Parts: sequence; C-alpha cells; structure tokens
Amino acid sequence: MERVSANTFKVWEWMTGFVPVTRLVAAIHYIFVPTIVFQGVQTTTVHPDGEIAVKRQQTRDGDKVVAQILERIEQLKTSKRKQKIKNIKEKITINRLYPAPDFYRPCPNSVDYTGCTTDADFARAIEEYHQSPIVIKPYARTSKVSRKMIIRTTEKDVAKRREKKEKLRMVRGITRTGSESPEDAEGPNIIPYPLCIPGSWPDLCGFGVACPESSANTMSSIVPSTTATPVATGQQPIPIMSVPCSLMRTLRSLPRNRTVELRVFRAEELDGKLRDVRDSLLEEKDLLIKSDYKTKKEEELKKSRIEEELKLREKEEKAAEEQRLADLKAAAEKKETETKAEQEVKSKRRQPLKPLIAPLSSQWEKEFEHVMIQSDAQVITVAPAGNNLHGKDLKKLRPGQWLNDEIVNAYIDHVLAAANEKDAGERAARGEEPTKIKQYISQNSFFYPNLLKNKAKSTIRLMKRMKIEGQALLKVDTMYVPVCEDSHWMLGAVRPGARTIEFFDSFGSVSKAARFVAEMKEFLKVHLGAAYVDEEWKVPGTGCARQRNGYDCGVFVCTNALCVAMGLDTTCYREEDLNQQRRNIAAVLMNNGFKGDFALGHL
Amino acid sequence: MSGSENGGSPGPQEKPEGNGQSEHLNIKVTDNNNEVFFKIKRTTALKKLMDAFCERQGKAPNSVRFLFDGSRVQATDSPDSLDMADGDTLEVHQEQIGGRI
Repeated sequence: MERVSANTFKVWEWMTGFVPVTRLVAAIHYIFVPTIVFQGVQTTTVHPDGEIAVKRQQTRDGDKVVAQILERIEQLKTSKRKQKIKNIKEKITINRLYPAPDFYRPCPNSVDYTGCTTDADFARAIEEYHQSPIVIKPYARTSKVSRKMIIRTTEKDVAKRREKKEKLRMVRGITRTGSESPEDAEGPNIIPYPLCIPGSWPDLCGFGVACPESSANTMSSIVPSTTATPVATGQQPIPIMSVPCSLMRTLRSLPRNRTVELRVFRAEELDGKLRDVRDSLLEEKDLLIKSDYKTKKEEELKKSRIEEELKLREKEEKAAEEQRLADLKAAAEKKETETKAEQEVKSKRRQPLKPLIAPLSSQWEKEFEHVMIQSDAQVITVAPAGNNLHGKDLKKLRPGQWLNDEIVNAYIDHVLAAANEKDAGERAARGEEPTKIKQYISQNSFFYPNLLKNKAKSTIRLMKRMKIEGQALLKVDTMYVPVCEDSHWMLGAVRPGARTIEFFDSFGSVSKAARFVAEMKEFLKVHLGAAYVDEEWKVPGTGCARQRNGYDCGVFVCTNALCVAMGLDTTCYREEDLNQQRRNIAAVLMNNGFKGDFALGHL
Repeated sequence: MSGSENGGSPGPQEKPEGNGQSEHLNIKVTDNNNEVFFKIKRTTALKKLMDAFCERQGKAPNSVRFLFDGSRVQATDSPDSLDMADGDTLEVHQEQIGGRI
C-alpha cells in the first residue's frame, strides 16, 4: 500500500476527528457503502468493481466486518424500498465496528463496542449509547497547520492533482464500460446528495462521496486520500472520497452542540442500486424543504403579524407623542403668554401713593446737620457692602455737592435690600417659596468702566462670585449698573424679569444710552449663551426726571434706583425735590437702610 | 473722572508676615500706572496691604477703592475669604465723583 503522506494524514485526522464529534455515526441514516471511509484511507481500498480491501493492522476483525457489510449490501439490493432505508440504518452499527486507529482523536462520545460480537450486542451498545446523555463536542480542534493545509493549494498540488485526474480518467473509462446504468453516461462524477444546504436545511448536511472529478472540478476540494495501490487484484485504485472545503467550512461554522447528520454515499453504488435510496432521500429532502417552506411561510405570517402589531403600536405611540407635544406646546404657549403678561406688568410703573420725597422728621434733620459738621475722616456709618462711610462721603450730600461712588453704591445697596425684602414679603404672601437668587442685584460703579475696557468676558468671574452664573441671570428681576462717566452719574437697569434694558440719564443723552444698551447686550450674550434671544430684549427708552443744575445727577441716580425697585414712575419726582432727597439719602445711610422711619410700605 | 495720581514707583516686595512658604501668596496691586507686588499670608487681612499701598503711593486710604474681580475689597477681607490664588491682582480705582456742571 502506498504510503500516505504526512499532510494527507493530518487532513484525514482532522476530518475523522470531526466526524465522530458531529455524531456522524450515531446520528441517523448513515448510508455507508463498503468504502469504509471512516476507517482511514490507508487501510481501505475500493476498486471500481466494488472490491474492498481492508488492512488488518488498522482494523479489528476487519475481514469479518467486511463480510458483514457485503451481506448487508446484498440484503439492501434485494429488499423492498422501505426496508432498504432501515437496513441502511443498521449499517451504522457495522460501520462503527471499526475502532479508530491510534492516530485518531479519541472520541468519548462514541459507542462502546467492547465485547460486541453479534448484531444484538452491537444493537444493545448503540441503544445504550442513544440513551446516554448526548454530549456533543465541537468539531475537533486541529492545529493551524493542518487547516492551512486544507485550503492551500500550491502549484505542485495542482500538477499532482492533474496527474491523478489523468490516471483516474482512465479508471473512469473502465468503470463506464463495465457499467450498465444509463446514468453513467452522464458521468460518474456525481455528488449524489446535496452536500450542504445551508439555511434551508440547517441541521442536515450531505456528505458526499464522489468520484475524483469532483475534486478536480473544485480547486478547494480536499482529497484526503491518495489513490490506494491495488491490493490483491492489481487493479487500478480510485480515491475514496473528496470533501469540498465549502462543506467543511459550513460544518465548522455551525454552532457547537449541534447535531450534524452526515450521509455518505459512493458514486458507483448510487449509479446503480442505491439510486432508489438516493431518490427517496431526495424526496425526503424535498419534503423537508417543503416543510421548511411551510414553516418558513408560517414564520413569515407570524412575522407579518408581529410587524402589523408593531406598526399599530408605533402608530399609537406616535399619536400619543403628538398629543404630548401638542400639550407641551399649549403649555409652553400658555406659559409664554403668562410670562409676557408678567413681564408687561413688571415693566409697567405706577405713581406713588404718597410723595416719594417726603421731608424728614425734625430729629433726623438734626442728625443730618450734626453729620455735616463732622470731620472728613470720621466714620459715620457702615455701607451694606461693609466699607465705612466717612464724614467726607456724607458731606457730599450737602446741597450742590457732587456725589461720590461710596454714597451711590451704598444707597443703591440699601435700595436693593429693601426691594428684595419687599419681593420676599410679596412671595410669602402669595405662598411662593423664597427664591434662591436675589431678585434685585447691583453691580458697583466700577463694573461699567471695566466692561468698556475689558469687555464682557472679564465679568464671568465676578458673576460667579455673585453666584449668578450663566442663565441664572434670567431669574433676576433687575440688575442695576450705576455708571459714572465724564463726571456724570447715570443709572442703567438691566431687567431680565421684564426683558428690558433701561438707561436713566438725567441729561437724557441718547448716545450714552445706546452705548450702554450695546454693551449690556454683549454682556447678556456672554452670560446667557444660547438663552439670549436678541428680539426678546426691548429698550423702552424710559424717561426720568430731568436735571437742569450741574450737581444733582448722583441724586437722580439714587432716586431712579428707588423708583425702579419700587415699581414707581421715574418721573414721579422733580428736580426741586432733590435737596430734600439728599437729606433723605443721608438719613437712610445713617439709619442703615429703609427700615423704621424710612420703611417704604406707604409708597 | 479724575485722573489717577502718579506718585511713587513700583515698590519692592512687601512682607508683612515673613515665615512659611505654602501659606504665602504673591498679590499684584495695580492702579494702571503702578504695579506693586505683595507677598502676604493667606489669613492676613488685606487692610494691611491696602494701607501699605496707600502709604507707598501717598494716597488717602478713603480716596481709593480696591477691587478684586470687580468686587469691592473690604478691610476685613483676607486672601482666604476672597478665595484668592497666587498671582491674583487687586485693582486700585480712584474715587468716582460726578455731578456734571
């Protein structure tokens, strides 16, 4: 017998390792004709005339088994069609008699045939095997080398194969002449069974034994055996089987733990006696395909039903979503109109119920006069911010004097405190929770020059320190920006609550107001980001009492701040009142705010 | 607005408190014309620094306003209370006064 090359060996090992694992034998119909492929190539040869030679050292009771096989085949030939299949099934037992040679992978899943001599023994062994829990192993692991071996086809291989093909063609010629079957005219090169029907037949894969031409036809075919040398008869041998790589790949790609049924034929047999079997199998296949089709159809129906259901649900969901959106929109619109109304209310100002600037009590007049004679460095009172107000600062409130930043900032801070208190009181009266962010805030008078010089981005840290970051600014009602420019006091009021930017200049300068508005819009853009909508912000151009003298602008600023905080008309006072207002400012500063005698409830 | 007084030159490093390393920080005080660097403790009241600056520049303490990040610095504030970092700047502004003749 020709020595089988190491490569062939490996391939074969790989295959045989695979076969038991997929429960080739135990699974089902294992139509096995006397080629005994399972046994290993080097031990078995098949001749075109059907003679079988089994080498002894590799098989146990080889001759006996072959005899049995032959007997079975005889039965197969004579029995009825139904019988045939049954008999063929029985062949399994016979086939499995051959123990795997040493170089085969051990298969723990295989049937234990030890001590089996009769058919009944074998049947019992198989029965036991069937009843034992099925442990299906994945396909045999092979080294990368052997896998590569299967796929790789070198030029040398091709040449070799061609040579073989030539040889075999001769053999085929012999076979043909010796055959009576009309189908032989089509050539013996048939793979009698669909090798693999992926998808349509998921659990069944045909495993064909074909004549060598199939291997020649497909370059990817594996030829696990080389041609065996003639044994006794000296006739030309033929290769035993070839397995297309595609099949092997399919088998390998199947999930583990899956039973794969392999059916093995031999071309010669099929040509003649086993054609019926093949036909029945094909019928079965058709049936299976049909049933598969049926199940497919059912599945499709099911699928379509599910799809319909899904569509319906989707539709419902969509409708619900639309409804929700509509509701949201309506709510948003309602809210918008509400906020607009609120903004309108906020931007409206009323006349005070009592004159804004009322004369001081005689006691406070005395206090004022007393302060006015204090020294410049004398600490008179403390501003809300914490800095001392000295005699020098308070004396700015004498008639005709210019006000400084200390007075303006301190007074505005007092106004803020009063306004926030009033707001908190109103909220409490309405049963609302107190706001986290103060409604009235103020920048000091150094804010605006810095804004002009360093632009809005430089104020981010300042606002962070004020704990009014980003869009929180929108929750503020009014932010005062006292402006001292060119020795002139003016008051800016950015009112996120009313979405207005106002600028009160007792001289009514237009250009300064425009500049202020532009700067503050920049400021808002930086802090509000996406929440800044330019159209929202109105510039009402509110007027205020006019200044004709050359010294009262700081007092105008203070008074306007008070008006804005109390929601009073900024024209509700006159310049003539401002001498009195200076005294009132001083008194409020000395009183540390609008409390006691200076409570604003009456306004 | 009135111009700033240009008295004095950049002063040397002022060290009101002189021990320890990590608890000290450098603070720049600038009034646009002059820059003075001070190295002070985190817990030291900034009054010391402001007084030192005014003295160096020959200004009355109640005629200038110290601002940090745009907000007024009070005499009782310390670097810690203002959350100042090393290298921060105190701006010195002149008193603002207005009436318009």
